[in-house]
Amino acid sequence: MFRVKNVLTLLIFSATAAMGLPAHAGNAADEVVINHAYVRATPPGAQTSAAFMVLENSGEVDHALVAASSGLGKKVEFHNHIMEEGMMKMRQVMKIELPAGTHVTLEPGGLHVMFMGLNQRPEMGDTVALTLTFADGSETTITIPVKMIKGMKKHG
Amino acid sequence: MNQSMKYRAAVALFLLMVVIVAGVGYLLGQKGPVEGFKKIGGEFVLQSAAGPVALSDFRGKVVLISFGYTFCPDVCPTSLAAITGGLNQLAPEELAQVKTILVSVDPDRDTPKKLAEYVKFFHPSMVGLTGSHEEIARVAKQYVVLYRKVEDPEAGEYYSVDHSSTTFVIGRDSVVRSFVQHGATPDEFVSAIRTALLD
Repeated sequence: MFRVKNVLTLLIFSATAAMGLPAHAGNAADEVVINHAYVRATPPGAQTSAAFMVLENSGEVDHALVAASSGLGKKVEFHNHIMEEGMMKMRQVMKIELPAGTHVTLEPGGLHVMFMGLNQRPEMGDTVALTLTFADGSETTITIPVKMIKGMKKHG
Repeated sequence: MNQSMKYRAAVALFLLMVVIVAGVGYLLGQKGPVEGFKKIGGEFVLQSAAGPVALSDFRGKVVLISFGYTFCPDVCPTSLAAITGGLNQLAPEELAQVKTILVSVDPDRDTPKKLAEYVKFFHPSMVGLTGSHEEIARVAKQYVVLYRKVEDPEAGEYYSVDHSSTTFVIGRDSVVRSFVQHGATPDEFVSAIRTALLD
């Protein structure tokens, strides 16, 4: 009798837990799917590069990107562009919100991962390891290709 | 306001609109530079890795002028790549009549040599120019280009520079013909270049 009661309690507890969303939420690193990621090939003399990607939060809980690191640059930050006072202004973004069930696109002219103080120049054919840290503390490391800047065909 | 006044106001408004539409139509339809554009732009001399370069050195050619800096990771490469995409669509005889200039808005970090390496990555016909703060400020003023170093104590050597991201299309007579805004496709550059070449 005592055991049955225990099992029942456990069952009721599990069912309650399953109903409350946060209780069974996975971590961001597992739930955020990253697609179409690439690093932009950098002209000689340039000290910066950028990475672009599509981040999809397949989970049921909001996540956020809070940090990035890579051997490519001494400093890796998230940046955005705003058109203001007739100027294109690039500003650091401390956090990229990834609401549940949506996707966020990092693309030229908008949000991007910015690499500063390049340790080497990313060239076509190279790959770059990039570690992304989420607000819940989970991390994911992706290895992404270096691609030519969009719109630019190779010289004929 | 009585009925008659309302009627007269409506007629006046209508006539004003006709004048505006006709005026804009005239400006768009006419050949050569739009009158107001003559006040924007003009001659300048800045430094390239190969020595001083003046806009008048390219008289007879169509010149694209873009303002930017090599530290810029996104906007400048995107614009220059679109220009390159456009240049690569031109026939060799057209390309021979087109020059592209990148004027640095970051003379502290962009040396003529660094700029030369940078622009060559995009297209061999591009030239990168810089100068003293005063010289750059003067050219920017001529072209009504705004730029401002972002004051951020934490950025240190990795500061960024806000700047206008318009590309100027200059006719063979060194007068501004049109503007191409950031985000334009290579095709839009081709069309702006060809229009200027035909003038």
